[in-house]
Amino acid sequence: MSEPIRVAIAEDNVLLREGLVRLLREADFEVVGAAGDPAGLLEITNRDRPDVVVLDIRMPPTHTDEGLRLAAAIRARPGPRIGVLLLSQYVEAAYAYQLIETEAAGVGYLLKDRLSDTEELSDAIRRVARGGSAMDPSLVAQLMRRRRERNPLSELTDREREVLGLMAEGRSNQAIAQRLVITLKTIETHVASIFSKLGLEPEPDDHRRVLAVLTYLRAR
Amino acid sequence: MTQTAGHRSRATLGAAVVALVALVAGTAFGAAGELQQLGYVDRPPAFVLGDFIGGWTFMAAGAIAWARRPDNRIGPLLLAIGFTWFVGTWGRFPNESVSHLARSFQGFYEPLLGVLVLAYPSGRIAGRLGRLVVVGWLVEHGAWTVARLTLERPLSWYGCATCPGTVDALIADRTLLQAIAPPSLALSVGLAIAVLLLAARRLIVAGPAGRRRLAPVALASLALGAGIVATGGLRLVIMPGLFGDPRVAALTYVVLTLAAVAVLAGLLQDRLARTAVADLVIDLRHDAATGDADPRRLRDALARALGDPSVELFPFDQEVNAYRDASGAIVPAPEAGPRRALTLVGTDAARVAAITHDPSLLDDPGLISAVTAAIRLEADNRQLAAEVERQLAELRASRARIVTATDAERRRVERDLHDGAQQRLVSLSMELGRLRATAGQSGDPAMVAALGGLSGELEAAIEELRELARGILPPILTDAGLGAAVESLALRAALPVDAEVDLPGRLPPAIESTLYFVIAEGLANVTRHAHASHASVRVAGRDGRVSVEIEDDGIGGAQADRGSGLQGLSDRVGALGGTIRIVSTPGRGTSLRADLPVPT
Repeated sequence: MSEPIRVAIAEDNVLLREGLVRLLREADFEVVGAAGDPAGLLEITNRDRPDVVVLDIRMPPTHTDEGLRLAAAIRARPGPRIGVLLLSQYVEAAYAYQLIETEAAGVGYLLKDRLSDTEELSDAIRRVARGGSAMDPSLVAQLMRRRRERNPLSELTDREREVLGLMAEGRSNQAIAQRLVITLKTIETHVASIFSKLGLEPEPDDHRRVLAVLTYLRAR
Repeated sequence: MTQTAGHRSRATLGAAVVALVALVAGTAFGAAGELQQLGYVDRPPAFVLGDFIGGWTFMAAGAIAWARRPDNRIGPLLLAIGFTWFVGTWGRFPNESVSHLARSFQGFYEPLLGVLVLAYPSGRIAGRLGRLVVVGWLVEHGAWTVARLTLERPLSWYGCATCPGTVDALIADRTLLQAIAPPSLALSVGLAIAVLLLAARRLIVAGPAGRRRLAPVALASLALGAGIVATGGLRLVIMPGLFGDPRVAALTYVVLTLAAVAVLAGLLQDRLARTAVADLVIDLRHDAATGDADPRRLRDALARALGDPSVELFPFDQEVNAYRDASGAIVPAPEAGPRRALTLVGTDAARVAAITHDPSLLDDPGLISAVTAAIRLEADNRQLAAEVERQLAELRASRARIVTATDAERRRVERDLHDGAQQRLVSLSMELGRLRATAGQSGDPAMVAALGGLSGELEAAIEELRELARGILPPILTDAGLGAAVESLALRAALPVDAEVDLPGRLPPAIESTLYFVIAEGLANVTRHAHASHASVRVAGRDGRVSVEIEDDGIGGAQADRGSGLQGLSDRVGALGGTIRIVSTPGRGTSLRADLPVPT
């Protein structure tokens, strides 16, 4: 096995922070540090250069959107990219779009509910570390439920919609194939069909694909 | 109101008719009398004309004054003076009985002029001495008249039916009459002088403002004085129609005419003063309406209304329980002085103001009471308005406090849920996940399945709690403001929604949440009732105001009061000093608009 992924954590709730550290260590991540506020995380980040930071959105001092701003600051740093995975009690599309405004590479945004599924969480961290994306399924579902004036999504088959949702969550064709238990070839056919029906240019990279799909879902 | 005006105009009309009839009759009486004077060497035409003009002016002035001021007795008094003035002119009437009566009753205008001098302008004589002198004079003149009636008889009474009426009438007891004449005359002149002295005292005491008002008294006094000199000689020789010095007679006519005109002008001016009271009320209302309560303006209005430039106003300040002067300084309670009268406005329990003014104004108690009533009314009005305004402000502040407090409470509950129950459940769910992973590794499928079931239940609980928290107050509103929260609402809406938020920054929390709930409720109503295919939300804030407008292209016909859930929101918006408005025409969509002030 290769080098373990180095993770730093910022979560102001002690119980949750300690639980998270334990969980990630058991899942074979190297937790380089855990802080209770943005300043602490920045200190750890500067010192230990983690691959991924996992952080809460509501943090001291104002307990509003500190995590969002901290994420933007960390992503704007020069040097090797640090993946950012935001955790929150609630997901808001407005926050998601704020996060991926320029690019979706190395960004994740998950409900804290996902902490109950260790494998799910580990997968998201690995994807973000690789420069991929991890968007919460509930967020994607909310976007796909949207009514719009003219809705090309209704032209998609049920299977295609399923594939579109998994693409929007940031999963690779490989992962989608595994999840749906169908061949990679079939997935590629579905993806091509979806892109053609929605009038989108095919994107080679997973993270650019996420951006394209989410941008499409946001439009009226 | 209308009825009062009707009564008033009927009363005025009645007085006007009576005055006109009296004037016509008096004019005929006077003219006929004066015409009989023509042709006598001692009565040149110029004198006759002057005599007529002097008397007639009094009658005319009296008629006008009576018609205009039916409440004032000066009008009838002037008419009576004019009428009695002409009585003497019938002293040469061919019928002896008539001329005898005329000769006996002539000269009554003198004591009546005395009444005028002391009773102008109110129509009442102030002071017992003045009343005593005037009544004494009338009695004296009455006695003299009776003496002439009985002691001086016409020739016809002695059998000469055809004898021409001459001044040399046979007088039965001429000797007795001649004996009575000097003391009677002395008494009459004495009383006249007493009246003139009292009038002079009135003029001296009156002060500058009062003297202006009493100018007609001075003229009438002169006329009286001249008349006394003229008729004094008349009585000494006991010859009716004979005037002493013609220059005195001429002066008497001129002064008498002027006096009549001056009395009338003064009375009408008094009427103007009453109009000035109306002006005062208007001034006060204007001050109240513009919030300009400068006591100096009020004083000036008061001075205009009372015609007294020396008026001083001291408003009573209930808070410090003392009077203030025009500059607002606290002063000791004003007192009446030798040349200053004091009028208090209000009651001892509720003082309003003190006014010091020229004592002569007390001659017209109607004017003073009208002015004080106006001030008191206005003071009461202002106090009531201030009280209502204060209560309203209190109520507004209290409503706003309730909304703000409710809002803060919602925020607290949401925050408590987030930091407490939600975090604990997530933490628990995470531990459960770890346990499940461990159980999976140790290969206990039953345990894994059981833990999976628990995990699902826990996730459902977390989801429910999240929705509950959102209903109390959406975290995104608190955390990121109205713009993000409205976008979130638009994304979640069951129909396509255009959202446009143009705000310079964050708004106060109570306003943010109020606007959020208006939009949420508005969109929910669009979904429930409007059958719309599209809706738009626009939020704009500038210059201390913020507005939100929710429009749809649905069926319209919405009403704010019918189960729309807007009543509560309307209360909430109103509590923050804002308004909410629905425009909904059937078939043309619905527009819901809320406007709120943003405190800086």
